[in-house]
Amino acid sequence: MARIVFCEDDPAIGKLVRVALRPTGHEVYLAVDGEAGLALIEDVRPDLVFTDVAMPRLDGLQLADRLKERPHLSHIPVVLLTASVQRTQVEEGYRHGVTAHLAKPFGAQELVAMVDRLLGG
Amino acid sequence: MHRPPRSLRFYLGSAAVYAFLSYLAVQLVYDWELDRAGLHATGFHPHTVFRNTYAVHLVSFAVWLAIALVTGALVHRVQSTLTRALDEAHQRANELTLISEVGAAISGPLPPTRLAADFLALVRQRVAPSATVAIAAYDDASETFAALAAEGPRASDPPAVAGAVASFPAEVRCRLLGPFHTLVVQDSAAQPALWATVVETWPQLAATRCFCLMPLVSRDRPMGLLALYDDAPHRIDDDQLRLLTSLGQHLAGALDNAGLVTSAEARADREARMNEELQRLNKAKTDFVSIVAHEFRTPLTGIRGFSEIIRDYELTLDEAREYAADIHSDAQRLTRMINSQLDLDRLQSGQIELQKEPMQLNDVVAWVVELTRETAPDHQLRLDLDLALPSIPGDRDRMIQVVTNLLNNAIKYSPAGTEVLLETERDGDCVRLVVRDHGVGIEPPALDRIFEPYTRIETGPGGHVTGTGLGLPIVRQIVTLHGGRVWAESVPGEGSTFHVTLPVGSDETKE
Repeated sequence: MARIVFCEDDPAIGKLVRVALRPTGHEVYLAVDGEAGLALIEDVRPDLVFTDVAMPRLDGLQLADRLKERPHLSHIPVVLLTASVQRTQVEEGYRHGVTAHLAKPFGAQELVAMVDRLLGG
Repeated sequence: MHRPPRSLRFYLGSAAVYAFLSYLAVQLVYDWELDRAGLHATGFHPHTVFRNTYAVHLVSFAVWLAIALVTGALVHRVQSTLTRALDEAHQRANELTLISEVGAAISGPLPPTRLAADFLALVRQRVAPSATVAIAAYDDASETFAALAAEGPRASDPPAVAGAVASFPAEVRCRLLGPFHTLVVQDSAAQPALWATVVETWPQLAATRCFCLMPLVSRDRPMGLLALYDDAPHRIDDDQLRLLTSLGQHLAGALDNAGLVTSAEARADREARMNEELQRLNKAKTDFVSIVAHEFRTPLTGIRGFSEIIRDYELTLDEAREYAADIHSDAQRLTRMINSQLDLDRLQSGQIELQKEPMQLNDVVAWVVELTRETAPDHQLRLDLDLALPSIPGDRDRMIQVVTNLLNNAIKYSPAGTEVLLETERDGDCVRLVVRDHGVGIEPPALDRIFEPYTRIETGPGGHVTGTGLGLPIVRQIVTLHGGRVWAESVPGEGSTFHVTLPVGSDETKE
């Protein structure tokens, strides 16, 4: 049982993630923007963070930076949700220390596989 | 009596003196030799020379005089021919100097007014002080001549004054522009018919007697005109005309070059600007495509994810139905996004023409509110309409779209139970629509950005809002096409107010 924070400003995707991860038994916490996500991460100390790139207030890359700045949060793996057309965005993400990236539109299996891979070890 | 030239008188006088001296010397030597030989019966006495042989002496003297006079006349002739040749050569040298000076002065790529001024500064000294010289440039498009510069006593009168535009009488015009002939009127009084047409065009030239118009031609095209005129008749001689023709050719070439350089520079400038604009547009297009792709991926993610869940997961029928409904709403959203995107694109590119006719903004607002009440039962929609509002020229369907988008936004971004107010009022030459909500509001930096496509802004805690991201851009585009303006004001946390102003235009009088 792990805790996962999912930062995504689109509620439809939030619901999808909850439903898709229900069989894994992990607890999923949703945040609608980067700042809310950061507060949520401080609160629940998750094992894994998913974040969209484009979000109001604090975007995905800024959120990754904030996590790296805080020693008690810097170990948490961060998965960047991107539009797969944007190669540069993926590269930019790795420069900001994200662990992996997941391209939209992603399927439920893809999401579960990514969670298993990052939490399994 | 016509006096012979001074040099001829000098030579003839000298010849007479020379003949007399020669005669005296030769006759004396002759007499002396006769005397010594003893052939003179009376002995040698100088006075006997004159007394004894009158006839011989007279003939001898006449011969001497004739030889001397012919020689004198010849010398005079030779000398005057030489002088004339030297003068001629001197004048040619001066002309050549002037031509080369003019050539040098106007060889650079100078603006036409500068070329004309430099040209006149050099040519001015070669024409009579009473003459006015003017240069005009020909404009292909309007087929007129515009004065560039002028020098002389009438330089500040039309048509010579700089900038004055002239269109010539037909008689003058066809001579100048057809075969490119120089028009010379040595005495206007002698050609009253032609002169009358000229004076009709330019009354200022009434006092002019001597007049010359020379077309400046380069590559068989008229470049301009050189005008020379004088209040005294017969002031233009052939030498002057020849010199002006030659100088005019230089000037025509220079004016032609100036035009070519200017147009080449303008073209290069235009191309550089166009290139920049194309690069900017290309980048904007690339950015835009990636934004659109990103936006479209969000509903696609829902469609893909939930369809996989329905396929692979153990679900109850109710759950499966619910997720199918999610797929359906994402598919609808995607359709709306595509339609809105196409709509905005057509509005921006001018593919859609507005169907403007006189319309009442109040009617549109009331109608939209009536429809929306059913779909938004949790909000209080209040109307405050100015019933004296004039009608405006507008596209009714598009205006419905504007009011609907603004009203839906107000409802979307404000919590249930709050009031949304729609006001109309007269605002100078415009009518104004105000849509005020008590929702989350908009941070000041985002107030302009929200009218850009796919702008994501803070929606506040719990404010989950899904839209096409194109509602406000479409509103702005429609309002702009109506010649109006739309903007937002907001106090974050207290609500937003959207203002639309639309010009009343010329339809105000209509009811």
